Amino acid sequence: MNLVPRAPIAPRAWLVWSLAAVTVGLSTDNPVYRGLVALVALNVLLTWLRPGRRLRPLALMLLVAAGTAALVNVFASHTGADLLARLPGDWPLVGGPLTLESVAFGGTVGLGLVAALLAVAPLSLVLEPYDVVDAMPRPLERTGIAVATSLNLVSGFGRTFTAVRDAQRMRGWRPRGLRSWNEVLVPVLLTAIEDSVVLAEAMEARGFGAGRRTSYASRRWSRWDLVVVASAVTAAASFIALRLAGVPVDWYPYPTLFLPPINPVLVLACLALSLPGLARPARGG
Amino acid sequence: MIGRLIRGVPGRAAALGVALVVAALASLAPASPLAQSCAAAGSNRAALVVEHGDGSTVTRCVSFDAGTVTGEWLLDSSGVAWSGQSYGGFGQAVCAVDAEPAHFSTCPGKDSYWAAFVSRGGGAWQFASVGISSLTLADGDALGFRYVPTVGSPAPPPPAAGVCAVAATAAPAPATVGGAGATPPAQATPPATVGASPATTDAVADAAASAGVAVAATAGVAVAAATAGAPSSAASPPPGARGPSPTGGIDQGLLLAAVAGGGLAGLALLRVVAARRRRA
Amino acid sequence: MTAHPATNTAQPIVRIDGLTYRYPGAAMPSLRSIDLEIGPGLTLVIGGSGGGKSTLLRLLDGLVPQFHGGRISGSATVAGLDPLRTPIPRLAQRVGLVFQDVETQSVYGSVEREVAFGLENAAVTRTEMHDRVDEALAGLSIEHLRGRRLSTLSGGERQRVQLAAVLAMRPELVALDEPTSQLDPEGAEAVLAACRGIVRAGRAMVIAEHRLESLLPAADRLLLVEEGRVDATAPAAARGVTAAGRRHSAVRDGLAWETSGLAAGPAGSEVLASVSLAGGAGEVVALIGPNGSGKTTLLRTLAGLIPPLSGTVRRPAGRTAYLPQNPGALLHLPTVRAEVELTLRRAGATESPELMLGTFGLVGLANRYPRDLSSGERQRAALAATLAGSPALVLLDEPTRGMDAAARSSLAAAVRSLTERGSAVVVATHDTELAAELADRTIALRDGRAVEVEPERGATDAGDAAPAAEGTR
Repeated sequence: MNLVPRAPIAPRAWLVWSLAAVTVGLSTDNPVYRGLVALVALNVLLTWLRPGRRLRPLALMLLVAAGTAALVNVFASHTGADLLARLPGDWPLVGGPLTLESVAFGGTVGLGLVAALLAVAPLSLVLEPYDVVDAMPRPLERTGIAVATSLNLVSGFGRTFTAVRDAQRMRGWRPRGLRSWNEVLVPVLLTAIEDSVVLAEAMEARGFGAGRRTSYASRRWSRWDLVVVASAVTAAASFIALRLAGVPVDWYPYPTLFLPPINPVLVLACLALSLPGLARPARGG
Repeated sequence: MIGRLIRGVPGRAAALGVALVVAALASLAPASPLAQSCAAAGSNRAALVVEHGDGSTVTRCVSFDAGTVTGEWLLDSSGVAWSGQSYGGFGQAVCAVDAEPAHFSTCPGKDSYWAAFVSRGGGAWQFASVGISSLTLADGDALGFRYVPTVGSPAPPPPAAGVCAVAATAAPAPATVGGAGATPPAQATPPATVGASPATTDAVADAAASAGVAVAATAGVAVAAATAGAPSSAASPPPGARGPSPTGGIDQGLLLAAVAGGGLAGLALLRVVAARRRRA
Repeated sequence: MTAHPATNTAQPIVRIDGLTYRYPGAAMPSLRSIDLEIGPGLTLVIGGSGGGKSTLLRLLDGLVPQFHGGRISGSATVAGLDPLRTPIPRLAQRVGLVFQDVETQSVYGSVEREVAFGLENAAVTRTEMHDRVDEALAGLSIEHLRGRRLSTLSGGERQRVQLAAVLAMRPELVALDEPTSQLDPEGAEAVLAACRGIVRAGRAMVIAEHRLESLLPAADRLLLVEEGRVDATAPAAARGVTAAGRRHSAVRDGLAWETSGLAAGPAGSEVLASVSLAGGAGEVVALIGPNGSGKTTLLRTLAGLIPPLSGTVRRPAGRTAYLPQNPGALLHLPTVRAEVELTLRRAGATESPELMLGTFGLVGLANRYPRDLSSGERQRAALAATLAGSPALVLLDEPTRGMDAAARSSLAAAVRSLTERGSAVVVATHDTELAAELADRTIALRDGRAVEVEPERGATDAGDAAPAAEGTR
C-alpha cells in the first residue's frame, strides 16, 4: 500500500498539525524539545513551500521575536548562580546581576517563539489564501470566504501603494512630515475601498448571498492526511500524557545551569511531527 | 496500519531486535558496582552538616548497614526537620530546614535557597546538581547544606571533618552549636534495594522505551515505557554538570536528540542551499 | 446582421418601460425614462463614457437598484423576472455579468474553483458542479487552463475564465461590461472571439464595448446610450470618429532625452538589456511590444523612479510628467479643478487650469469629485492633472486604456498641443491606431532591446511587419 501523498495535504489536516506542533512547542519549557520542534517545522515548511514564496521575511521575524524575548529575560530576571555582569542596582528593571542562567532561560523562551512561529508558518506559506475557506468548520464557511477574498485584495495594496507614491512624486510631492503622507495614503485607501466594493458587487452578481451553499472541493481526507493527523495528535498526546505521569518535561536552569533531561520517547514524539515533511506529490502539489 | 509501517521500514524491526538483545545483556551484567559491596552491620557512617543563613551550624553523624544510602534517607535519619519538593527527574529538592524559611512560595526560593554539597571520603565539598533522592553516599562521605543567596556561586558549609570521627559506636553523640539532641536511627530499612534497583531497571526501561517507540506507540504504551524510563534520566545525570554522577555514561535521550537535531538541521541547510542555487 | 436560431422569437429577453434611475446622492438621473427591448443574439451597447452604459448593464441583473440603492421608477423584465424586486441570487441564475476589472472580480485563486463559485452559491450538487465546470471550460476551449492558478494567467485568459464562470450557470442572457478595456489587443481579440462563439451557439448576449470592429459584423442590434437616453440605432452609425490623420512634423532642435547602454529592471532583475535611444523636443516616440517586454520599465527609468542597473539616462531640464497605468488611483482631492491646480502649484506654472480642463473636455465636470466620475471621465481627469504645467518630458503608460473615441481624440489633441509647445513625448501603448495617429517614431521592445520600426507598415505587438489579416483570428 502506498502511503506517499498524491495530492496536497488538506487544509484542515494542516490546521491540526500546526495546532499539535504549537502545543508541543509551547507546553514544554525544555529547549531540546523546542529546538526539535523548530527544526521539524522548518523541514516541513521547506518541503511544502509554495514556489515563489520567500523565507527571508519569516526569518527576519523569527530573529526579532527570539532576540527580543531572550534579551528581555536576560535584563529583567536577576536570578542564577553564574554571574556574567552586574548593572547598577538602582537602575529600574534592568539593574542587578546578569546571569548565565537567565541567558539560558531567555534562549529557551526565544526558542519557544521560533518553534511556535514555524509551526504556524505553513498556514500562510503553504496554503493559498482561499484554502482558509476549506479549513474553516462548516458554520464559519462564509467567514472563511470573506477572509479569503480580503486577502486577495490585500495582496494588491502593496502595488497600489508604490504606484500612487511614484505618480504623486512625479507631480511634485515630497515626503515632508507626517501630514504630507496624506497625499499618498488617502488615494490608496480610497482605491482599496473601491476595490472591495467592486469585489462585493461581483460576488453578489454571482449569487453570493444568505442562502444555502455547497462546496466544490471534497472535504474528505486522503490516507496521507489521516497519517499526518494521527501522528501529530499522537505527538501532542504523548507530551501531555508523560507530563501527567510525572516524567520531567520542563527545564528550569535555576539556581544553576545543568543539562536538560531528555526522554527518548518525547524525542521520537517530536520526530513524529515531521511526517508531512517526508514526501510531497511529484505532480505540481 | 502498524504492520504496514514495520513492513515498510525493515530497519526498524532490526533496531528493535538489537535493542532487546542489548537490554537482556545489560540486565545480566552487574548494574552498579556499589551494589556488590558487603554490608557490615552499623559499620558505615556518613556526616551531615547544615549551615543556616545566620551562620549557625547543625551537624549529625548517621550510621547505616548498607553499602550506600541516598541523601534523602540520610537527612530523614538525621532527625533534622526538613521539607522538600519533588521535581521529577531532578529528584527531591530541599525547600526548608528547621523552619528556615518559615514560608516559601517557590522552591528553590527566589532570594535564597538550600544548596546541597557532597564530600567523598573526606574530600572537598562539591556542589550537587541533582536532588537529594538522587545522591548516593557511602561510608566516609558527607552531605552538606547551606542556605545561600540565589546570585553568585554558592559557598560550601564548614568542613565535615571530625563530625563522625568522635563517635566509635553505632549511636554517635551530636556535637557543636545549636544542635538538637536527636538520636538518628542507626538502622533503617535496608537501602540496598534502593541503590541497586534503579540501575537494573535502567536497561530494561531503555529497551522498553525504544521498543515502545518502534511500534509507533499509542499514548498508553508511551506512558508505560516512559515512566519506567524516568529513573534512567535521574540515575545518570549528564556529564559536564558539577557534582558527582553515580552511574555515569552518556544519556541515551541526549544521544538520540543530538542525532535527530543534527540530521534535521543538516537537511534543512541542504534544502535552503539547493533552493538558493536553483533560484540563482 | 446575421440570422440566429432564435429560442423564442416572440418574447424579448429584456423589456424596459419608462425606467428612470438616479444613484444615491446624484444630482442627475443616470437613466432617463428609457424604453427598450432586447431579443436573442448579440446586442452592442455603445456610447460615450459616463453616459449610462454600465448602469444599464447592472440593471439587467438587479445590481441596480438592489446593490447600489438610489431611486428608481418604471418597470423592467429580464428573462421573465423583475430585476427591481427579485433577489439577486435568483437573477444570477438567469443573467450572468462579466465586469471590466480583471483582477478584482476574482474570488478564488484557482481556475476550477473560480468557475464553480456561482454553482456553489446556487447549492448545486458536487457531481453536477463538476459536469458543468467541464462543460463551461470546453465551451470556451480553455480546458488547458484547468489546473492553473489565476495569478499566472494573462488578462485575456482570466477574462475567459470569468466568462466560463458565467456560462457554468447556464444563463439565458450573458452581459459584459467593457470586458476588454484592460487587455492588450491579443487578449481582447481572444475574449471577443469567445463571445462571438457563444452568440453563434445560440445564447443571448449584451456587450458594452469600445473596440467595435470585430463585433459589429456579428451584432443583431445596437443601442446608443448617451446622457441616460437609449436609442436603438443601425450599425452603420457606429462608424464614429475618424482618425485625424497622421502628423508630420520635423524633429525640432536639440535632443530632449537620451539613454545610452541602459540596463534596468524592477528589483534588480534585468528587463532591459542595453537600450540606446534618444528623442528630441516636440517629438512623439511610441513604444510598442508585448506585455513584459520592458515598456513600463523604460518609462519608469526615464522618469527617474528606478535607477538604471548600468548605462546612463539624460532628462531635459524642467518638469517630467508621468502617467501610470491606473491613473484614477491617484485622485483624492474634492474637485477635478483642485487636482489640476495642485500640479500647477507644485510645478510653479502660471498657466490657468482651464487650459487643461478645456483640452480634455472636463469643463462641465470641473467641480465634481473625481472619484465619482465614470472610468473614462476619471481617466481624462487624471490626464489633465498629470499633464498640466507644460512639462518638458511627458511619459504616458497605456493612456487610452478603457477610453472611448471622444476621450482618445482629446488625448491626441492634448499631445499635439504639448509638442507644439516643445514637450518631448514618449508613449507606451498597445493601441496601434493611437501610435499611427501621433507617433513620429515607433520603437519596438523585444528581449530587452529596442528596435526602430516603420509605423506605416502597421507594426503589431508581435513585431513583424505584416499587417493583421482581415476577419476573425
